[in-house]
Amino acid sequence: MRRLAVMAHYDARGEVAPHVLRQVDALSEIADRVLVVSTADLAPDGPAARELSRRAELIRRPNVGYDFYSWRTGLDLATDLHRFDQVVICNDSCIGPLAGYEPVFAAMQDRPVDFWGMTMTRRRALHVQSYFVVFGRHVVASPAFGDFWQRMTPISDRAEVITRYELGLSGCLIRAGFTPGAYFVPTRHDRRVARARHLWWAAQTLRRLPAHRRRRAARRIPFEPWNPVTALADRALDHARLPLVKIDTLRFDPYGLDARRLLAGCERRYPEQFAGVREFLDRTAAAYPVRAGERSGPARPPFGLRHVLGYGR
Amino acid sequence: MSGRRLRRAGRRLVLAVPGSGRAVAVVRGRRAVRGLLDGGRFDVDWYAAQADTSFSSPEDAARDYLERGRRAGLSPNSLFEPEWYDPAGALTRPDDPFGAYLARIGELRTVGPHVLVDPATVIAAHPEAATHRHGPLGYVLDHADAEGLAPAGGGPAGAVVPSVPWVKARGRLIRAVTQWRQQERLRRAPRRSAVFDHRAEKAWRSALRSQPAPVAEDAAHPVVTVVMPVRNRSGLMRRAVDSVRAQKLPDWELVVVDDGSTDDTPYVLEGLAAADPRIRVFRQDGSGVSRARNRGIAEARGEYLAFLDSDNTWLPDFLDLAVRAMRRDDVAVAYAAMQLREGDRVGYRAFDGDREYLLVGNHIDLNVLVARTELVRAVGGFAEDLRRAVDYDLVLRLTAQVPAVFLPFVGAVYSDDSGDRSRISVSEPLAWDFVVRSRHAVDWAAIAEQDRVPGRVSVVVPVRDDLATAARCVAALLASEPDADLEVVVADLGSRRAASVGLAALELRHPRLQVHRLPVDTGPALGVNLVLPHATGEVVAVCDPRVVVDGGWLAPLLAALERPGAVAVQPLVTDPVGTVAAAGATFTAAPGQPVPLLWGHPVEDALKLGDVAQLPAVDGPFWLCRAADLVAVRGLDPLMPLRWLGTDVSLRLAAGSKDLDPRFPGRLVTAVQVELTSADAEADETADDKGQAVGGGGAVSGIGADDGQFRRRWCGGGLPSGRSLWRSAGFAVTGHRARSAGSVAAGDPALTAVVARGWRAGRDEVEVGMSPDERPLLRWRIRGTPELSGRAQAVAAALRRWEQDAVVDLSGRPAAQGELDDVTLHLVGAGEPVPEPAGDTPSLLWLLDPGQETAALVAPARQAGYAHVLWTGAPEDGQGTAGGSGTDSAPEVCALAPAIDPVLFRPATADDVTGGVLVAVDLDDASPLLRAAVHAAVRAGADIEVRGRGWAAFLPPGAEVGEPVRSHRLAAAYAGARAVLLDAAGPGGASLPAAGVLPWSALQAAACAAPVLLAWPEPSPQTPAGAPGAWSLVRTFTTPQEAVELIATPSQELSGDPQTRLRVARDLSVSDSYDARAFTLVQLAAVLTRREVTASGSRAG
Repeated sequence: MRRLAVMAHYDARGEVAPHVLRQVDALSEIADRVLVVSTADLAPDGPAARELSRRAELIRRPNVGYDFYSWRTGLDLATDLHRFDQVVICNDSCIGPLAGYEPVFAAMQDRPVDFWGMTMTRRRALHVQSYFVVFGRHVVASPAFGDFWQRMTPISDRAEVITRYELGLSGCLIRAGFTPGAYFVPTRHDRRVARARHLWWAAQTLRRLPAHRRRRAARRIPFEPWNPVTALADRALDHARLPLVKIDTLRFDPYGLDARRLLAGCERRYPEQFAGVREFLDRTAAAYPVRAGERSGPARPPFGLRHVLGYGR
Repeated sequence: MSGRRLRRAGRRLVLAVPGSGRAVAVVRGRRAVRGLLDGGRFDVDWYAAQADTSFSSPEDAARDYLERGRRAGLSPNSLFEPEWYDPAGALTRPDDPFGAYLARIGELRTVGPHVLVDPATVIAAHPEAATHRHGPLGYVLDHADAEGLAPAGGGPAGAVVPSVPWVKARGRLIRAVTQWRQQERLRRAPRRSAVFDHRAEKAWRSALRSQPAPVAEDAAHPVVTVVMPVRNRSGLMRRAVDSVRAQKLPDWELVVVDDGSTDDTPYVLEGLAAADPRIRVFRQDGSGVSRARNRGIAEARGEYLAFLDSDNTWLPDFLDLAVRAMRRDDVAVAYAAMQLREGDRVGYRAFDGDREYLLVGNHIDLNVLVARTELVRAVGGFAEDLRRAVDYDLVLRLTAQVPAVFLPFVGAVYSDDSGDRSRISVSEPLAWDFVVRSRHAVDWAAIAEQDRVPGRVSVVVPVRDDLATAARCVAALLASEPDADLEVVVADLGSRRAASVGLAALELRHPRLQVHRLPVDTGPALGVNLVLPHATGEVVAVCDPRVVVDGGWLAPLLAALERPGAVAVQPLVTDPVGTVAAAGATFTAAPGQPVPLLWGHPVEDALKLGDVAQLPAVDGPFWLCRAADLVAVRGLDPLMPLRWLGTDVSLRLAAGSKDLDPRFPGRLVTAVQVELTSADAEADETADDKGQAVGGGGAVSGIGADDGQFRRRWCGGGLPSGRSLWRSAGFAVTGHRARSAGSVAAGDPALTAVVARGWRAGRDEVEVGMSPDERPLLRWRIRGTPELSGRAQAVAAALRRWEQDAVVDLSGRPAAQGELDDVTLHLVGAGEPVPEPAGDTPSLLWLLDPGQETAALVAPARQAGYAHVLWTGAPEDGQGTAGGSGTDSAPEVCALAPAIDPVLFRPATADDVTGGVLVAVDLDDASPLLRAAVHAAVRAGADIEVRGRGWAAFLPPGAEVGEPVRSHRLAAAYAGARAVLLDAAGPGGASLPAAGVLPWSALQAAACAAPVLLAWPEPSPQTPAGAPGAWSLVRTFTTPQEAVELIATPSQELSGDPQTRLRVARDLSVSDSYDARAFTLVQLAAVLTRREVTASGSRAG
């Protein structure tokens, strides 16, 4: 099966982190052609560019439009999309794959889906989370797919990119009749745990809100769908059922589930995949300030709840 | 205490006892039943036939009527139908119409309760009926028996028909109501219902459990092939496909045929087919849903076929249960119930009916139909020439072979998302259902083989509900051609009970009439097709029931049809106000939309076409063709909108075959010397514009058809434009416009032509013609209300005698074609408002009746822009013309003396004078002096003939009062009278006597050389003004006694010898005729048009 992979890359330091190179290597194993579209300030002849160029086709472009515009640039430059049976788009926001991509693609081969990702959520609307998405050839050939990328313009607001492009991509394909899917399928137990973690996060979030906003938020936040890539990030430790770990989960610990424990567990379980990750997090911490509404860093649930909710149970 | 008070107090006492109210109600009910049954007024057989019930006793039936039937609109007696005498329900108590009719006989004595009962005829034959306690109907009910005669007679239709044996009448009526009931059962079958018997479904399912699960015989031949056509439904079809994949029955294949989708459908299908090998996808280039399904049928490998549309979903056990049941019972065609969801509402399509029900309406949804594959192939699959109702067509063809068995379980769910404009049920008209029904219900081959009576004409009249209109039309058709071999075939399009039974009763009154009832309103086209087998004539006419014919219409039309090459003929149809409603169809050059020829023009314009004109196509509510030709083209097309039904069929007739080539040199002829009046043309136009069913009065409807179908068939170009016809009428077509804004809003404008006068077509040729004696030859439009028709026609005729081109337009419509005219003359009668002048055309206003020269009328008229305001009174110069007319200084407000129509009112010979002194006005229009004079003359036994309404009650008992004199008989009545007794004051006021001017009526009588006795409340004028000659025939009276004396005076002493009177009358016809006034008008117009010419600088003459 012929595959094309387009990876969006950004590094505030103008470098390439080791886990990124490992991900490019993993992509190269399953894809016939890998394009890395980087918006990082890479020196043309520097070691980072050399490393990337050695592993994939490197495309550099200005840092506008977030990862979606990088994918669009890559897809535009690929030109021969029809030659591939699958097209993969992904970014460098994850560490992994923890056990290679082969078992992932093999598992998805028999599922009746037209496009899929590692995780799918119903937050705001049903969508495949865009850090890793695979499209079948018939989807890539469809007018809906073509129109989506054709109409894209660079947007500099992250929230708007998520609304218009991350949700929009899945939305337009679903409306066109294509079926979405996800590699990671939570079990009933997963869902129960995720629900409890989400409620824990909701309680913390509400506590942080001023009193006048709390009442209204209390009617909404606890009932929102949970985010699988965060709420069940420790399923990575469970035989890599979730084969990618989001760096933001480790950096910000959005649900307050003790990301340090998760990182430590991952380093123990997947030492090769996580080599240099801790250093990367430390060195880039200043470049990734806390975003509005998110936590400033890893936290721990109180002692009584730690074993019930915390990562790595 | 009075007796009444005592009774009231007693009643209160009784009702105060507990439980007595119920007892009183029971007693009253029994009394009512007994009252109803007394005297044979309640016909049990008749009522039972309507109620579709058998009653154990007459009392039971009467009780049922009182408790239920009368409120449901059922009739207690076959000779009583409130709809006949009271269609609006204004006279009748809705809860007890029969009782109300009998109770109010004092008022309704002259109103027939049924098409077969005419009270006047009953009373004439049996005077005692007038004093029967329940009136003529009560008398009939008491005395009619099997041997007696039903009292048939002239009803509201105005026809006189032979009596009908009562036993025959009652039998026919009961047959008619029984047929209505049976057809209602077919029509009202619960094809859709709000409930479903889930308990029965459960039992049926458990009975099926023991049946082995369906298994395919081999892998290459699945049990069921599911055929799904799809076009641009990428987002919707997933649910449908998923519902197939979720079927419990595993051995299926899904054949999806993509009918040329341009969206993501092909890509979604590619993914589906890749994911499941049981899904096979085929692609075609948008050839239509039928061809797509047929492709699926051709590719099918399964033993059974099922069809699923991309917007429907099956329940998981649909195929499993259906095939189990079909195998168990060895059934070839079966269908399950379907759940319908529309918002929060849930309904079911779950009706177990046979083919008889299917022919009335489809109750089988294709999405829940399963049939053996070889049977579907044997009947030829889906009809590819239909754009809608293909499922209905297939079901009818399958059920013609084997019955379809209903499986009582819910097999599919349909969610209504009618916002989807691509749905066929939204984009294509309902009339396709009628096309299908026409194919299955009409055996054209058999009709073609039928023997036809040479020379006979069969007039087919489609009717729905409007009994009175239909009766009037039928009576007029038959009465107008009593000696012709003519039959009328009424297609009753599923009328209500009362109308249907009334129509059947008409058959008894008219032996040359057949009435055939259809169970539902299928539209006029299918209605005509369905009754064609009953038409025996070699010529068939199709007639809208609102058309009213006058005598002598048939021969010219038949003669026109005999002309070489003629295939269809139509008469000129005018609306009630005399403008052209239908004179044939012409077409725009591109894309060839139909344009009614001369629609809305005064009829005079159509008469310029000559006696017979060759048309591109017929148009309108009445047309004829040869029956064999009509059968050869498979009759009328239900798809066509009502107003273009005849146009379409005539074009197909011209094409000579089913081949729809309009360039075939066929000839279509209209016989313009025949005028029919479409009584409701205006309503027709309004309804058409609203895009609603035509015939709001309920005559006929054009269900679901639209102009798009006509355009699709004929507007490819090549249709003759008919411009030569417009030229023959003196016009050049300069463009087209929508008939009204409403039709444009509907997106489907009915067009009318924008025309110019022939001489105005080219700018350089603009010139007013002049007669040899230097009179301008102008086109006049005489406008007014229909009440002024006679005077408008007289003025127009007088203008024509002065070589003017005059047309009469009483339509009241805005003068859209006003640019065609040189002068517009508005006539205004007494009490009428002054209309707006017509556009840029010079307009004259003539206030016809005396008393209108008030500032209240004249000043606003001048302000509104009338060039001249003429009022009826004494002209200043005594010449009967406007003072100073004919010069550039013509006054703008002037008087015209009253005038008469010299053609209508002319002297008779002495032999014609046979009557006495004539009074020919209605009592309400007579002045107090005239009333008193007539009363005194009658009391004195004078030789006086009183004709008019209202006098009978006013005059002493025994006085003879004749029928009112109709306007066209007035001249003859005047000429035959020894003298005429008239009022000086007309309806407009009493100012004429003061001015010394004779009223119209006195002038008219004088023009007939009749002495005039004028009720003149004021002393005679010293100097009579205007019409000095007429004054010699006039004697005035100011008291009743004077009138009596004058009536007794011999004629010669009244106004001289006959020769003198004749001479005076002849002089009048010159000096005080419309001809003289017309000359005045022409002189005024000459000045006006010359001014116009000078002002514009382009028409200097």
